[in-house]
Amino acid sequence: MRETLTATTLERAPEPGETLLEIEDLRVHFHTDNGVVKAVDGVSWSIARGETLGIVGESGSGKSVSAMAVMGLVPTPPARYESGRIMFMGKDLLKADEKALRKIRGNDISMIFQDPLTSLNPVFKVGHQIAEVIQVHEKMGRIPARKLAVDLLAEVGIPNPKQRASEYPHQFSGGMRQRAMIAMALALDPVLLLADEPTTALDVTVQAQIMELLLTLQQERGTAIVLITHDLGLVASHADRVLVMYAGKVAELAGVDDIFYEPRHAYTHGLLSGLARLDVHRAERLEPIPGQPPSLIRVPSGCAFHPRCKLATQVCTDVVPELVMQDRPNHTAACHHSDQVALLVNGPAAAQHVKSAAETTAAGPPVAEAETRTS
Amino acid sequence: MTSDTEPAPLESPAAIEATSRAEGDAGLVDPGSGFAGASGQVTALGGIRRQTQFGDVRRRFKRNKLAVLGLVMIASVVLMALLAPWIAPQNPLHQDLLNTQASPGRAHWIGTDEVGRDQLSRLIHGSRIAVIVGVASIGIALVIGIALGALAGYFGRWWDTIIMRVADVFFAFPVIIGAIVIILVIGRGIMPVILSIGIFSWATVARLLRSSILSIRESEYVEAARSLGASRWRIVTRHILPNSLAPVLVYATVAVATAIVAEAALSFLGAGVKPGTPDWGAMISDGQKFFGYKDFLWFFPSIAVVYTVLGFVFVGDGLRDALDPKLR
Amino acid sequence: MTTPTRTPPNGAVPLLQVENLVKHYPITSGIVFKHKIGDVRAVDGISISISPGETLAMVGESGCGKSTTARAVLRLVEPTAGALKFEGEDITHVKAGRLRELRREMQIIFQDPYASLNPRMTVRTILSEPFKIHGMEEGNRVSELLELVGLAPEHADRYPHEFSGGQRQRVGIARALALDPKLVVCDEPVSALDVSIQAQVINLLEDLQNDRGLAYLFIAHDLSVVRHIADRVAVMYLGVIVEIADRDSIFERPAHPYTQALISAVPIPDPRKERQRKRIIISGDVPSPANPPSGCRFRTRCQKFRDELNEGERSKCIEEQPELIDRGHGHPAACHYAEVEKVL
Repeated sequence: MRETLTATTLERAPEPGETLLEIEDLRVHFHTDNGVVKAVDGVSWSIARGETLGIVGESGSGKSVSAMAVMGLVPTPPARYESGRIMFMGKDLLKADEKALRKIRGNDISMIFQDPLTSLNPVFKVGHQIAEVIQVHEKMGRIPARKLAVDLLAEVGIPNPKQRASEYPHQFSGGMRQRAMIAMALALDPVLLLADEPTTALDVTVQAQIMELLLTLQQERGTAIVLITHDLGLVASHADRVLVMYAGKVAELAGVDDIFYEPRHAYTHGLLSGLARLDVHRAERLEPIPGQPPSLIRVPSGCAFHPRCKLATQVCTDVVPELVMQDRPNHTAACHHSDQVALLVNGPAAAQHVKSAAETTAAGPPVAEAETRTS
Repeated sequence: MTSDTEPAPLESPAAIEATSRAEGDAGLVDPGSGFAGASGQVTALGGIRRQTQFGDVRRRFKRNKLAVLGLVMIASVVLMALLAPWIAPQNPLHQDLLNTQASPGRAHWIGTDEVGRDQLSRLIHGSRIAVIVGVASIGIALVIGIALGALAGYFGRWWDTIIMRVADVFFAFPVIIGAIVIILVIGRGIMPVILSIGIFSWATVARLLRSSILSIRESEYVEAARSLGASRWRIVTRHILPNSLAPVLVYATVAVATAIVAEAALSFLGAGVKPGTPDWGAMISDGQKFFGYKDFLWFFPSIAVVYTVLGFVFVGDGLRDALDPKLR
Repeated sequence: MTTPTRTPPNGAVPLLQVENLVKHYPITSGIVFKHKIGDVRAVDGISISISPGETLAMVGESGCGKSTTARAVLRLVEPTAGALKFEGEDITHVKAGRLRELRREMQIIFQDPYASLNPRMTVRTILSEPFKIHGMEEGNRVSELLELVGLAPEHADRYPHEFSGGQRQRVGIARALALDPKLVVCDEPVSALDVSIQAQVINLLEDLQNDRGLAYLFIAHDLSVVRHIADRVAVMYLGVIVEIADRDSIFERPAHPYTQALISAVPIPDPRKERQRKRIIISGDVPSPANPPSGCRFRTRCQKFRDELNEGERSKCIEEQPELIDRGHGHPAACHYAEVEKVL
């Protein structure tokens, strides 16, 4: 069924494990009447073929914006790209022309959103909308495109796909709509899928269905998935690596186990300590992070988290912490007090080896030095 | 109690944050300053911020430059209407048959009409008709529309069915056609014009109010008031009406402009005020016969209509934003 | 569908008793001549009781009727059938005057802190309204209430939109507590809040309960929060309770297939545990409450019905609505073939 698709813009298929997308030092600032909203402020991440990267953060942390920038969905103005590159298989998407971008989006990169009702056009039949996506990107007639759309609906687990294809979005339930969205996103067999809170609007049993579906599709096709969510449980069960964002910056980036068992940023640790858990009854009070997430217009000085951080000292107020390599490979965190977080979480033995941003700031170039330490 | 107050200092940095956002104050307070200091800060700013709902609306309105301009435009027209006998250079009814259709000049700034009446004086006096008809007809529409819309929206059931079907009938008639029919029956004059425009404008008011009442009636804050045991009267007057009148008020402002146009149109069609009365629509109607070579005859009264209408539209637009409590 | 309502261990009268509560919404057709063409059976015969100081959580997915139950308990919607008893007094049909007095005893906290506060009232007006309604001396109570929920009294003259979501929710809590109620219905009180704010509000609710002996009817879809805050849990599906038990029994020994699927579907923020968990995936969506399946309402999605039962057993599910009774697992579950299964 898949052989018919040829429209990929890629010169070659990506190797397993090859880095598909690399975002470097991306800054997306929105210029509004009230001031400059630094939605994404120096963020770097990358994702490899077949991998799932979880991006977690609270509302206003800028967790969706970098993904939207990849899709070119950030309106400019009011947004401005102050710096950065978005490298997709060697091409800078920020520099590519509109035509090339249109081909890449949809063909190679797709996105699904929280509310499928707003992303499906209410006046067209679902099958028609999927077929249209295929027709736009492929040299394919109306009838084969229609047939492919029905096949796709079947593939994402919609019963009676033929009949469903000729129904309108409002006739679908929330879960079915999200499946239809996924079918549309997968229509052109993208190598990268950006999923922005894909299950937040759904009930938990339906969420399980949708995540299962994404997992199956990923295993079959080797699709890389960026899973943007506020749900740490979802990240724990589905992500390979996790990016924790706070106030438009990367707080911590590490493998999923490291994030949950060896957090090195006070914010990550705070998030985990404040969680009510399903599996064990915590008799003691939850330990919430005090205060509110900051407004992106008025990000606190130094470490943006310092007004809410119980470990904060003078250096946190004064110096923006750099993202430094931690005591474990592929684990970076931007916290002046990583060592104390380690002490809190893993005890004194672990804390000895942790180098915090505070020390490296004083000692010279951070990441390079940390790398020599870990290698 | 100790554990209850505990979250307070935790929230206060954010509270300051919110305050500084509101005040455009860049100062960031050290979180270590604790609760007392933090709340002191808030109090200092809170003192300034303590203002009435009306003050809030006025502040937001004033930020919209176009709305302020609109208000000035309306004020100038109203002033002109009030002071017409004193500022008009001549009697608007005085005919100077030796000096008809005089071009604009020193004696007659914007010329004279077919029977030699001073156009400027007629224009100035015409503003009275425009303002009176605009305000009074929409006043009537508001009284009928708010009463019926509130009944339909709050009580629902057959009140709703009957009122809204009647509204549909009125809605189906274009104002002008409906007004012409009424005027044909009861005769020309300023009162018939006011009445007929009013009667054919209430349906929109009622619809607007009904639909916003319907959504607000189901809102959680109304539910909260009910769960507190609030009486029906209290719920309607304190919760539902203040929140549902805003769109009506905005509509009414713009509707005044529409009514002024409708009045001018009626007079233009010869169904408005009695012949001879200084009126913008009638002036345009008389002037358009000389389109192409005596353009000053219709041009200046048209400008007057456009100017007044724009004033109300700008104000309506400004009110829309000013009445939204979520915008700051 | 009668279940013995649990009496509190000390033998005292429960604070709230709900017996066979039914709420149907008519589905009408036609504009001028409306006529009824069916019923949405939002709540279809549920019985619960809450003791003073206790937290009973009602969980379930959207459309299961938990929010309707919350509103019916407060008589914000009129029950179609069934009985409500507050401290032994039948309040199902009490008249407006007595109902107004009862409002002081039962209050509600809403889900959406943006929609539950009148945008045109200052926080002071919002918090003094309860006292005005009941003709009570207001005195310094507004400031006290704000302090109680951890807000600065200096903020009283601000409008709701000047606060963050978490702060607004605190205002909503303060309003609910103004009249010193005994029972507070919490309708998804944290699900609209940011992760880091949820814990703050949960702690506040717990502290208030400890200090004032409040009983909570806690409506939620987030099972993790329920595990933390509830004493007992009732699981709802399509207008009926399918399982009810104390907190640890529900989570450790769920007997109804729906409860098992529900718990199993929630991801745990613990990657190693997650890798070992076997997830029960149930198919499809919740059927329409206007036309619920015959017999057991869950059977159309039930993993047990699908995978384990034979034809004969299935016909019982199709024909007979299972009663909510204890079939030997220590707590009531409405499944003919209820069987404890560990899913955590």
